[in-house]
Amino acid sequence: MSLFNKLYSIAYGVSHTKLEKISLDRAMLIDMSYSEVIMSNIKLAFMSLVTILVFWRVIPHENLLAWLAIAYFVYALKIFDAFYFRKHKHEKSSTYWENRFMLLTLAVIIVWNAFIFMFFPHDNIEKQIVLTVLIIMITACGTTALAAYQKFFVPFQLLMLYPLVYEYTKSTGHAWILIAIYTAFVILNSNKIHGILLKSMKSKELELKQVEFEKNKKIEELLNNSGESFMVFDENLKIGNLYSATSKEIFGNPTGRDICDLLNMETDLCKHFGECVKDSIESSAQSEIFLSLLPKEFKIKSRYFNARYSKLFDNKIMLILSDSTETHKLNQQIKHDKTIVDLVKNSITDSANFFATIDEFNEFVKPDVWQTYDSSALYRIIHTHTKEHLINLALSIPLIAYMISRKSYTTIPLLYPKKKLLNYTHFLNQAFIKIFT
Amino acid sequence: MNDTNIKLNVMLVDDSILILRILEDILKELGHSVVAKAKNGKEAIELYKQHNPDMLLLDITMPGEFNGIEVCRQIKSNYPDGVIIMCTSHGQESMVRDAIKAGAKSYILKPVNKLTVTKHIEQIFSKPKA
Repeated sequence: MSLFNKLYSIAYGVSHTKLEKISLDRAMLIDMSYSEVIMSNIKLAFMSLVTILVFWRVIPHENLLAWLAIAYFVYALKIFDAFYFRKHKHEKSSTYWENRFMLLTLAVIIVWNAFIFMFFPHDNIEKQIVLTVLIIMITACGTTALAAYQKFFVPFQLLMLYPLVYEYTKSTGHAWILIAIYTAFVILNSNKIHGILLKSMKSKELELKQVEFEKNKKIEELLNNSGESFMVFDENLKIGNLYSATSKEIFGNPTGRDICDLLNMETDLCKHFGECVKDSIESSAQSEIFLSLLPKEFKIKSRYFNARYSKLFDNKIMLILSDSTETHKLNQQIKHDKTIVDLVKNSITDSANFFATIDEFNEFVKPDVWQTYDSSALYRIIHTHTKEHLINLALSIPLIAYMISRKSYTTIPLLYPKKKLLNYTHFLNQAFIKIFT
Repeated sequence: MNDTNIKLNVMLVDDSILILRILEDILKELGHSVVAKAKNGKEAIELYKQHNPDMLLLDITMPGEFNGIEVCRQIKSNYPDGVIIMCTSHGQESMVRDAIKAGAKSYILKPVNKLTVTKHIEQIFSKPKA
């Protein structure tokens, strides 16, 4: 929960949970707040000038000019920030802009409240208490109002002028009548603002819910008709309540379940899965690349499923599973046949590479050569020998090597001690001699 | 010849001479130039400084003190705009993730072929249509 959302929810009585759900609205509000900064600060500058001119007649003091200078400096900072936001808004996260906006907003509030202190009644303790409470309340209200809707800032700040209005009206002889009129104006104005904000917030929420409902319905209909299993999960790998009828047939009700458990992923794979999902959500530019690193096939209840992933607009991932059991069996057969065909083809069309590979491997498996390598070096060389050309050359032996090399490069020397690797290379050596002689 | 009419100066890094030869053949066939070839990470960093290629095809597992990820990290720290594509095998997804986080633009799965290389070059270097 960001500071922005906390203040927003305090100001409009909207629950935190609801705000988290309507993240689009939040991004929109940051944009909207920044868009109004320039005009709002020009208005504030004008209002500050008028205020100083009015009160100069009652209390002509040089502090008023100092205050005006500081206030203008803060307005200039806010206007500069708005231009900076326009140019660089896509380079930083929304949280960054929220915090930046809030800090500068607070600076404006502090400047305005400093005005009150300039007229703080030093001789009356009751007045001091009332004013202090007033300042705290106004600061909180003013900050939240300014954070959400710039144009409502000025009416909120009218409250701060209470002591000044009092000082001014005192000299005219009709102090209490004017104070009463002013109070009524402030209360009516505040109620009006509160009503408008609440109504606007509720209608926006309803609008978003409707859009989300229609969108989900369309997706659900589309995917139900496709006969594929689809599910939507979040950054914590928990499945949401959007899933197809096929998913229910395979898994039962998947809502709330962990995607790793559902797809029988081992701990390491699940960790990798979670990290890639997180990276994909955080990085918009390389989101697709991170998703492409996720497993593309799962075996569930003795059937094979092809997996496709897609990032949704609300930072969730959609998983689409298509039954590929028959295709899988055919592919295995085709792969096996292709390896044999490739072996024959390569040996005929690219004999230079074919014989170079054999020579390279034969050089490596000479006992006086490989026995001098340590485990890491041996693993690396075996890994190299399992690449395309070697897989194409022989059938089962390099595939075993390939399976071993699938383990992490850094952990393999620990998993396969030197003795075991040496035995393995000896095995390969014998096997190759048998195959190629 | 490639369809995009882009002529790139490419550098190749792989500890296997055969893979280097296969990659060089494919790139030349597509109309690109191979400006340098390295067999380990240290050599790769040195050669990159000398040639500053348009694209680097970098093997992820290599001998010596620098593996592909470390080479990628070092090059990107000195040349933030450098385009690096990792060459990797099935089962190395975790390493690919580290490489992408270190600044690699994309990755190619071995066995490498003409179609895959063309697709990656087009994706990275083709200007978006107006």
